[in-house]
Order: sequence, then structure tokens, then C-alpha cells
Amino acid sequence: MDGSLPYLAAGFGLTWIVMVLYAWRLEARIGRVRDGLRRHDESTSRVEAPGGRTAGAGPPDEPDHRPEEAR
Amino acid sequence: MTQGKRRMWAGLGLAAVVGAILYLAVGSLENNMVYFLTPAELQARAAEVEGQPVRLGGMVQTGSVDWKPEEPLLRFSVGDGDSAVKVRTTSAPPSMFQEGQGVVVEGRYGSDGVFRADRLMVKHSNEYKPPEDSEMPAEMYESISEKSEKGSGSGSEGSTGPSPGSP
Amino acid sequence: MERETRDRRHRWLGLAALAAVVVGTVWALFVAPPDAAQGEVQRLMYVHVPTAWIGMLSFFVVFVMSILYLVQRDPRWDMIAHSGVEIGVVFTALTLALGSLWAKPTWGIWWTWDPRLTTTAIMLIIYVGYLAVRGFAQDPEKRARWSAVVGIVAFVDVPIVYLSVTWWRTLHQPPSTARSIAPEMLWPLFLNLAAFTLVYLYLMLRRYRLAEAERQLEEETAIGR
Repeated sequence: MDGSLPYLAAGFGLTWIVMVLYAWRLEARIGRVRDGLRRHDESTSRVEAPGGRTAGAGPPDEPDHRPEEAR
Repeated sequence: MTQGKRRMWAGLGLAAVVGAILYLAVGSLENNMVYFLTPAELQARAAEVEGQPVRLGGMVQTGSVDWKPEEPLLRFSVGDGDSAVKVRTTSAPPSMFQEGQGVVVEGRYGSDGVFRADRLMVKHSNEYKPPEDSEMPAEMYESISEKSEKGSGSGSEGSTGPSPGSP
Repeated sequence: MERETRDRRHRWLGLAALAAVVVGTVWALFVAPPDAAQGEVQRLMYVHVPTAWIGMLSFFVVFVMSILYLVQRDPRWDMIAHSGVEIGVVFTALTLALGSLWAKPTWGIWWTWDPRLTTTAIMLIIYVGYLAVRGFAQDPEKRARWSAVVGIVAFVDVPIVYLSVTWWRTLHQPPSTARSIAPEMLWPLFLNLAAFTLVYLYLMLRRYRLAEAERQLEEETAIGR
């Protein structure tokens, strides 16, 4: 191999790293938004379930099953 | 982040982007629409471009290359058709530099008719093919002095003339 | 559940794309011959050309989706366009970086403001601007409308980038044709073009999933507010 090796290594390496990193970050972002959705669903359903029409009144005051996740 | 803050950052980003586009567009329209002059154009506009930073493009004339690595000083002629311009530069020739190869040089055209280049760029063709059985693939960083010792073979390498496009 | 089946299907596509890129890289680096004029470093073509292709393909999809959005006002077109810009920006930036790595050993320089390089840099900046516009608008419908307009106007530069090497004098060589590349180099190039297109498909599907989830979250929190 001639003096091309560093350029080839940098070029192919960069291509691989960028593609893999982007795909991996995408999954992380999807996961984060879906977590947010789940939390949102849980909090609204908890508000609606016991008292009927209290939806939109904000987070519930009742004891939470997972306090660390409640917003 | 609050919404106001987000808006502010987005606005700043947008302004920076629009500014950068304008800067690049105006700059490139003025300087880059004609990326390089041919030797004939350079000589015709000599009075106008003398001492100004310009680019010159053409072919390295056969038999014109003189490379003194110890100084360092590289001299060659850039030609296109009938006209040719002498070029002097202290930058080392890139590995693909050779006689018959298309080049673009950046520098100033002097009143003595010599182009003093501070940047030397090699233009290559869009042709790709493996080396013939008899020849080794081109080596990177082969010095021009070694090359001339081996006898400068220029035919096999796909050299391209910088084809002047429409003005 | 529907979402999970689709996620699983995407994973298969992702694995296929990964396998294709592995074969493409191995072929490019170890099977294809070196170039007569440039030597080994010419192998960068097998990544530079496909990333440039994906960038332009992506922006073309954005262009079509932006028109569709303005005609039909279906938020899904906007979501595809947004996804396409993000992926196009990633691949265009990669194209510039790879081009620079290829330019240094062949042209002798990392960068020059020749028309091809300049118009490509402008293309990248314009689409980064598209993403900035999205951050600027709050109302989803207004944001989609503005983005669609930018997505259409921005595309003006894409054919200019492609044709710059024929219209103007450049340092960059004109596009290679099937005849200007030897067959044993053309096949690995085609394979890599196909492999990167698979990667593009996979990334678009995943990015669209993200846009979908974001939109759902945006809607639900808007109702709750």
C-alpha cells in the first residue's frame, strides 16, 4: 500500500462511523419520545380513571406508582 | 428551553444562515464564476490582472518542468492551444503532477510575463481504469525527481485539459 | 401490535443494508483494482459518489414531498420532508468531508472555491437553514407550510450543483459515465450505490418513526395544555 492508507482509513472510517452513529442516535431519540408518550398516557389515564371528568387538571395528587417518572 | 429562548436561537441561526448564503453567493459570483483563466485570456488581460490574485488553468507543457527540491523551486509552463505562460512556485509538486497533466495555479501574473504561483492544484480526469499488466499502479508521494529519472512517461495517465466552459 | 411489527421489519431492512455496505466496503478496498493514474486513493470514489447520490436523492424527495404537502396539506408529507432534509444534510456533509480527503492526495489541496465545491457548500447551508426554519415556527401547520416553501425553493441549487461541472470551469472533474470507468471498477461502484440506497431507505423509515412519535407527543401535550 502506498501513502493512500491514512486517507482511505479516514474516508471509509468516517463514512461508517457517521452512518452507524446516526442510526444509533435515531433509535435513542425514538426511544426518548416514546417514553414521553407513555408517561403522558399514564398520567392522563390516571387522572381520568378515578374521578371521571378531571382530565386536563394537571398531574394527579394521588400517590404515584412511579414517582420518579411523573414529569 | 423556554419557547422565547428557542425562538431567539432559531432566529439567530436563521440570520446566520441567510448571511452565510449571501456571503458565499456574492463572493462566488464575483470570483468563482470564472474559476480560472486560460493562458490566452491571461495574456490578453495582462494589464488588467497584473499583480492581482488570479487563477490560471491549462496543461503542463511537455519538456517544461524543472524541479529543484533543494531550493525548493518548481518551474514549468502552462499551455492551452497556442499560448503558454511560464509559472514559478516554491510549493512542491503534488504526486499527480506531471507533464501533460491539467493544472490550476493560484497566484499573480508579473509584468515580466512570469506567473508566480503560491498554490498548485492538479486537475484529473473522470476516467478510471486499472493499471496495465506491465505497469505498477501510480504511487503516492513519488517525487518528481524520481519520476524524471525513470523517464517521464505521460501517455498512460488520464490527463485532462481544463476544458474552458461557456463564459 | 402494529408498531412493533413495523419496527421488526425495519430491523431486517437495517441488517440487509448493513450487510450490503459490508460487502461494498470489502469489494471497494480489497477486490477492486487501484487506479492507473491515482493509485490506491482512488478507492475513495466508492464512498464519495454514493454519499453525494444519497444527499441529492434525499433533497429530491424533500422537493416532491414539499409540493405534495402544499397541495394536499397532509402532515405526513411534511414529516417525510423533514426526515429527508436531516438525512440529506448528514450525507452532504459527509460528501464534502470525503471529497476533501480525496482532494488532498490527488489535487494537492483540501479545499478550493471552485463552482462545484462552492455550490455544494451552499446546498448544505440552505438545508441547515430549512432545519432552522422549523425551529422558528411554533404552530405545526404554519411550520409545515414554511418548511414546504423552503423545501421547494432550496431545490433550485441541487441541479446547479450537479451541472456546475459542465456549466463552468472547475477543478472538479465532470461526472464519470459508465464508459469512463473500467467495468471492474464500475460494478463495485454500482454495488455501493445500491447499498447506500438501502441505508437511506432504512434511515428514512426510522426517521419517519421519530417524526410520527414527535407529532403524537406534540398533539397530546397540546390537548392537555
